Amino acid sequence: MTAIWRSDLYRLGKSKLLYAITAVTCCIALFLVFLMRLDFRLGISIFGKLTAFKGVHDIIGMGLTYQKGLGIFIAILISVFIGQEYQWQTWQQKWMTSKNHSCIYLSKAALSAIASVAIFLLFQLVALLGSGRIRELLSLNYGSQMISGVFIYGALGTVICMLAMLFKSNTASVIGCLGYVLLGEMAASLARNLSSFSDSAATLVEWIILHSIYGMSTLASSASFSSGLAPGIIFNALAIMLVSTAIGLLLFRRYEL
Amino acid sequence: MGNLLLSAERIHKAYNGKVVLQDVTLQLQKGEIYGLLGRNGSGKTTLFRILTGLIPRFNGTVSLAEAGGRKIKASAVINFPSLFLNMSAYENMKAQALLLGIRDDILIKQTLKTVGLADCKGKPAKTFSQGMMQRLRLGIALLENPDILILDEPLNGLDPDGIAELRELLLHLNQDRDMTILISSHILSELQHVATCFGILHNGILAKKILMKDLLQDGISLEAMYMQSTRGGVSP
Repeated sequence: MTAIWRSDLYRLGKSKLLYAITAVTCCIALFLVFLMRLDFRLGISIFGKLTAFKGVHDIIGMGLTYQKGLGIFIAILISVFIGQEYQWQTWQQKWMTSKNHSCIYLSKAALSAIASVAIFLLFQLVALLGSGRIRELLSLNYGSQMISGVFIYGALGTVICMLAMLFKSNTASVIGCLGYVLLGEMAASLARNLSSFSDSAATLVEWIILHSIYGMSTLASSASFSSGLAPGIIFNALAIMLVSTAIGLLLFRRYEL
Repeated sequence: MGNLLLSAERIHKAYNGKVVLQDVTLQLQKGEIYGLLGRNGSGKTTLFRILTGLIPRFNGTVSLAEAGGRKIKASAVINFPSLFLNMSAYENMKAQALLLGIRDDILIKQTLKTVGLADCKGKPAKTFSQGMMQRLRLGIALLENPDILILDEPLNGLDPDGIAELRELLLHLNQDRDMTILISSHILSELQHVATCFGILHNGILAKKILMKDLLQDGISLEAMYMQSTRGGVSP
């Protein structure tokens, strides 16, 4: 698997899209922090949901809430990276060399998780350093939020990898993965409305939402977050990573070139 | 080592009840350039995918010989484009080299020179002509210095110059580097220039091996043999 991993890492390193996304992520973080330092107040509405940036804590929170920006970049990066293999039929090189579908999939899943976490940490680091309020921000809660964010974004990476592998097409995987990121909140809202007819259904839906990536990111970015919630988020995120990887592996192993 | 490098016995493959390959038996001897003929849809690509492990589920057996404690190495150029079009020739080769555990940059540069792409190693593959892309695919296949090279319709889309260049390269690999080549095509005139033996695949059935020297001795053209086999029906 090491050889497949090295080859995938090399290819990702040659991707102009990776550098573009890295640059945009840094620019957005710097821009928001710059506005905060100049005491500008900013509000951004996405699909009718307003996010108000009143302080640097809101910028940190935005980084934790994947559907507000970073998730879009991650979805595009991973889905294009994987979709190109289907589009250009480059799987055969790996197939013929390793003949091990599991290693091929695991390499992609690991790289997707790491790329996702790296973009999250980059945003947070730039925002932290740019804010000039490092001591104030570095508290137990902030540390717990960042650790929770690492696992949330790791889970996001593996889920997007699974979706991209399932779509088997560059265009479809970009659209599908973006849909997953952007429509998560809408889907949660719809599920809540549909389950309101029954208490047990509502409880079940609420439990599912709370334990989904969307639910975890909302919790981690909320004002009510405390460090005690971090272990639960980490455990949940690991479970999502395992399940999504297992499903993706199972389906990918059946794929015949 | 012996002379037999690859043996495919009674290969049978069907998709949704439609038989694509029917009890195909093929043996590749060392030093041969085996030309597999057949029209579009005859099963050539499916057979090559089975031989290279790209299709794992089939009936029959495929075995590679062993030599000096190691299995015979086979490389293939099958699907298209099977190149990372956003990466340069060098980068495509490097990605494949890493996959093979090769870290020697000199080998990559030498291989690019062998396939005539040393001057354009930095250009993105999407700017390449069909002939250049084909040579790059070949270069990628040559990285691990295979004993057998399997090429699925490598002449498709090439202009006369590209065809001549590829022909020269294949003859060089066979004669100077002792490489055994299995090549499929429906361009009979070109195969006649390079292949030492032929098999005709028609409706999933492979006719017996025909040696080029026998054709020449009997004064029969390859085209005539092909027409006779496909119109008269191929029997294994």
